[in-house]
Amino acid sequence: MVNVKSKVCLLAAMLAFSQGGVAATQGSETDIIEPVIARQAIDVDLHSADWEIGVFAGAVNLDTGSSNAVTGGRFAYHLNENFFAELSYSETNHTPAVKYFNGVLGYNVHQNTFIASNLSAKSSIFFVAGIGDIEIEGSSLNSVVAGAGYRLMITDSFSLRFDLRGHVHHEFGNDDEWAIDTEANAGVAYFF
Amino acid sequence: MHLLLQFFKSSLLTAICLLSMAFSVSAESNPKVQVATAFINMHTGPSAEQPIFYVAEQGEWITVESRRTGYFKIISSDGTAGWISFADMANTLDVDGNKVVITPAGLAGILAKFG
Repeated sequence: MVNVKSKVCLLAAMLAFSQGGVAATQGSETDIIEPVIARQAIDVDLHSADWEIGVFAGAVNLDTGSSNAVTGGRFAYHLNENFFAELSYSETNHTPAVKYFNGVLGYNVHQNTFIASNLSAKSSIFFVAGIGDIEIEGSSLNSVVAGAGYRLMITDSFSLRFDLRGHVHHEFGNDDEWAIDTEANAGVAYFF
Repeated sequence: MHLLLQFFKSSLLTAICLLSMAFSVSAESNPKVQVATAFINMHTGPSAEQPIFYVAEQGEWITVESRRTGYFKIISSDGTAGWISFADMANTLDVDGNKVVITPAGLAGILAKFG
């Protein structure tokens, strides 16, 4: 009995909705309804997912000789399939933290990485070069940055990234000597 | 009272059904275009370096999925996914038979705006 009731109610509800539609069409009874034959052309000029945002973690070898864990974030714009411009910020986990600001231009060399004979992913090896700023104990040092990395696209939007970088700068507190901080990190990135 | 509740429940159900129908219609918004040249090369990824593994033939309807810099991801009429260049995409027609209108992305797009 309950089942029948619910069925009747469903029917009544559907009727109520359909009547609304009938009432709407009855109002324009006198108008001649022109059928729309042509399908609407949908815009092909899609948004291009050229922006990349990501986080990473790794280790940096400071010019004092100690290695430290480092975490950071990056933001990039892909100018075309080969060139990209990227800003990144990272800091070490010890106190006082050493902070790295980098602005680099990168060049992608694309390929497909085959994980198995029937499983491959888009990937690229890239080279970066640029300038940076290193903050150590309140003072800042200019740096020249160069490095290389590998990007593996998990999907069309998500990627895994592995970066190696060298930060060349004057020694802290000694402008006559040069030092290099080497950095290795792994991260994930999202294209949008 | 019980009957009223039942009616309300059923109304809600019907409304949800109608709404989901409306959404499923709007979800099919990926544009379809027709190849208007002898063939279009399909790459495995969004770059010229990535190999050409398939072609879309003249007259074939392809679905445009997404875009990255100078490349469009498309699905061919037999369901094969691949990437075609901006220049090749310009050689397609929309459902009305007009040439598709696309503007360059990335650096080319910036230069086109100011150039």
